[in-house]
Amino acid sequence: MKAKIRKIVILVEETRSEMGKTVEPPTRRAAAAAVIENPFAGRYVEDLTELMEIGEELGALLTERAVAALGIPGPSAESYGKAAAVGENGELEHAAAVLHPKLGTPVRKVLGKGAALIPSTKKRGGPGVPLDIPLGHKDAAYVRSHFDGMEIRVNDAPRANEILVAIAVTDSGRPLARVGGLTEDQIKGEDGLR
Amino acid sequence: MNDLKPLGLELAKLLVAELGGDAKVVEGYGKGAIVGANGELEHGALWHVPGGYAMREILNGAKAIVPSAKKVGGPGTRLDVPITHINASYVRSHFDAMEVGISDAPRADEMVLVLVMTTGARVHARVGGLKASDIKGEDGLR
Repeated sequence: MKAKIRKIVILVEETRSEMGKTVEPPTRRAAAAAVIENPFAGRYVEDLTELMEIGEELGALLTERAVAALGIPGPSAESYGKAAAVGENGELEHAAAVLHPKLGTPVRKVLGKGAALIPSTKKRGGPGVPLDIPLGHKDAAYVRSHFDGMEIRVNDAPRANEILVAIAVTDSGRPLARVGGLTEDQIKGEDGLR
Repeated sequence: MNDLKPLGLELAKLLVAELGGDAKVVEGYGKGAIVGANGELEHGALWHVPGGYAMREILNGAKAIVPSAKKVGGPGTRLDVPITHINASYVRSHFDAMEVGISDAPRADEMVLVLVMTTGARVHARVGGLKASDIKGEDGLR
């Protein structure tokens, strides 16, 4: 493996009630994050291929860990998202190299399908920076009940020469979703939008 | 949702004004919500329609879905608002985000509603993928 991983952090959220109403079954989501060494920290490098390849490795690893944490088969996942925080000696572009060129394919392999764009955020920050991973339905971005986000924070990451990379998956939409719009049972799931 | 439409338009116009006044310079956008502790996450979902559609209207019918993030939090909560190209979500140079927050908001009975606009790609964008100059700009994706 090209990625030098210092640690992996998994966060699972299970929402059982909202505003006093029971959520049955509980909505569940998991974020799997890796803290990796940034091979380009501290210098301008034009060709970021090494980070793109690391992205491919992490796409597989983190998605597998996230669905395992939920105890579901990959294809049962409903929403996904990705995010990265680059430490202070890196560029935002380092996060882009990890997240965009090669990370998506292995994610979709684990989850089976995944027609929609994988929503993402990126930032540069210090250890303990909170990172919001946006979430959207994996086959149809416009499914309104599945617009969401998950915050993850790792107190000691990213260090100046590190990158925190996170992938989130859910087994459901928002708890008690009720603002209309396109619903899951209405989707075709081919164009990635509807 | 309808009550928030005027706010959506007002914020979108404010953003364009802050960026110099010409809506044509806007290339990326995003939206978000932080719901105060007495609310539900679902209250933040009410911003999708008035926030998103207001921006697309002000930006001469931008085609792409407006990406979003939401959460429940206390005053000072930070939110990363995702950003993508306004006419073609898959333009790679424009995948980005902006962290926002207000130190004394939202109070428990409040919500923070956010719109973001950008005028271009990430700095030193160089990871390939679909270019803004290559888009068809019809389906909102490519």
